[in-house]
Amino acid sequence: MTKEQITNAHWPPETEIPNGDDPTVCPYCSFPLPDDEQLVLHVGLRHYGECTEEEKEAFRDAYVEEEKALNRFRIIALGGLVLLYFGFLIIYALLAG
Amino acid sequence: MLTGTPIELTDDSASYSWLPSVLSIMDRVPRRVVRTVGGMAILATVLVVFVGSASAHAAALRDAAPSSLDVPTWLFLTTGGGAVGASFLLASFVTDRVFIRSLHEWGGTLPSPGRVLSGLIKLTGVVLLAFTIYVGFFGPPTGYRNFAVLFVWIAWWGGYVASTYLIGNTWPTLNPFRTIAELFPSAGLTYPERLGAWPSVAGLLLLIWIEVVSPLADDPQVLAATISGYAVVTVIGAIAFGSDTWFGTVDPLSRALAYFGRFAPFERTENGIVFRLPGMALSEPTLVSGRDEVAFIVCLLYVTTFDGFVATWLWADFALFAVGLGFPPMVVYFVSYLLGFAVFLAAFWWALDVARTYGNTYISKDELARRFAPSLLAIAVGYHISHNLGVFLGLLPSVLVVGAMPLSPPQQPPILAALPGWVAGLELAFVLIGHFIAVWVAHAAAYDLFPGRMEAIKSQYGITIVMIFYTVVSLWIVTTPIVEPPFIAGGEAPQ
Repeated sequence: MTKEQITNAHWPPETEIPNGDDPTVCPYCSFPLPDDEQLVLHVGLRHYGECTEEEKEAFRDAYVEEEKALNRFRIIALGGLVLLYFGFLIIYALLAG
Repeated sequence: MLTGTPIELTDDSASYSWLPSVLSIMDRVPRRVVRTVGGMAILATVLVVFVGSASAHAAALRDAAPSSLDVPTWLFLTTGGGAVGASFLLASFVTDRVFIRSLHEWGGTLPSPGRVLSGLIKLTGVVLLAFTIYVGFFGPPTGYRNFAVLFVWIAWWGGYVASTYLIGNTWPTLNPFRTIAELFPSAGLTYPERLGAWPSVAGLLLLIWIEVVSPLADDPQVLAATISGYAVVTVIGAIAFGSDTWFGTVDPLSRALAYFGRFAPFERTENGIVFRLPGMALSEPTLVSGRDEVAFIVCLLYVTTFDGFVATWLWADFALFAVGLGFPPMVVYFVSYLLGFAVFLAAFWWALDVARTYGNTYISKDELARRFAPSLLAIAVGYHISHNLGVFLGLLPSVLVVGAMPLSPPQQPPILAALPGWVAGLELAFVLIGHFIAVWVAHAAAYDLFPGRMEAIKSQYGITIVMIFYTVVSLWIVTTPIVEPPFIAGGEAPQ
């Protein structure tokens, strides 16, 4: 398996659009996406070599913007891990004591 | 064996999934004792994995565990579930697409083995099959003294099958049924495409049904008869539809081992032997191609669970209740068996609904099922090794001694009665490692499918919840005391 095959052999995946939805369609591969943000990310990830400078710029912005949401999630995830760790630690300590 | 006559099954049957009554061989090893101690060691392992850096605590716990720390079941189970949940949270920190992909792409190619070696392997497979059937019919009638029983359940199921995911799948070459079928010209019948892999799902359900309700691991003649029956069906099928179609599509055993082989670090391809990191090929988009194959993978995980579940008090209580209402015992077993499978499929389907909702995508549920189902194989692998490692090591001396004199084996073949405590710990560690790899594979598949990294993480909520729940259920089955499954064990209701 070459790298090319792993990333693009099975693209695009099968899609199913609910009735009444108006998808945003990728101009390069006609892949339907639910909103513009997803489209910008999709174009940047899948079509970086062929897309326009504006699209690249938009992709970079969206990618950085995404980082903010990811950071918020990471803080919550870290909180979850701490809670799990100390929660179990305390329960085991109580039982051992 | 739906004859209605009660079938003899010994006390320890069906608890150690897939390898049930062989364990009655090990009456000399009080298994519940092994299990209780094992449970504690297992718990210590969970803690070591989970607590990680707090090594001082872990070491102290590990030392203290077998004697003084009395951990209630609910805590043991939630710890296992918590560890799986934690692995999801940890995986969510890895958001670098290039890094994720690089792990899955690492590998290379080695030259294939020559024809002579392949020929020798094929010959070995056929000789071993013929010998197993012969000794099964004409050898000693006691399970633990019969080479057929020991060879099939310990050497083949416990050892060889493990090699298909730990090293690589050699079954297409070794498979004696295939070697025999290929001696004959194919009848060239066209396999109905619309059936897909569904016959293999039905075949797997049937094989495990037979394994649960009949003394396959106790009675060498029943085992030999079952293998012969399987051989006849398989060889005729392979001749009718062609070997590649039969073993690539219909045969449940070949399919299961082929999936296990996708987990393995080595795989034979047209270009030679490729190598990669274990489990990392499971994220390949083309591994699973339809609902039928998704159902097979879910089934692979389910049958292991059902096999263990029938040996719990919960099942015994339920079966007694249901039979008390007037349902025939075998109907209760069979309907529950199928309903349980439906529950597993429904849980997986529900997880995909969640993935579609939180993943903010138009990708169809079928596509998501095909991409996420392979991660379950890592869990199946973890459970296989955990169920079989101790038994394999413990009974390996028996296999060797009985194998050396199969027609006049010693009265009491040697066993490794006192396995060190860490083996049980290792078994549980493998269950968790399987879950961790599964969480990672699903994470990587999500990163391949979803343009947004946040969406990729959110798409895993449902699958993570299902995995946590599954871990808790399986750990409960593994550690709960073994109860004789009612009605298939001599027809008497347990008191």
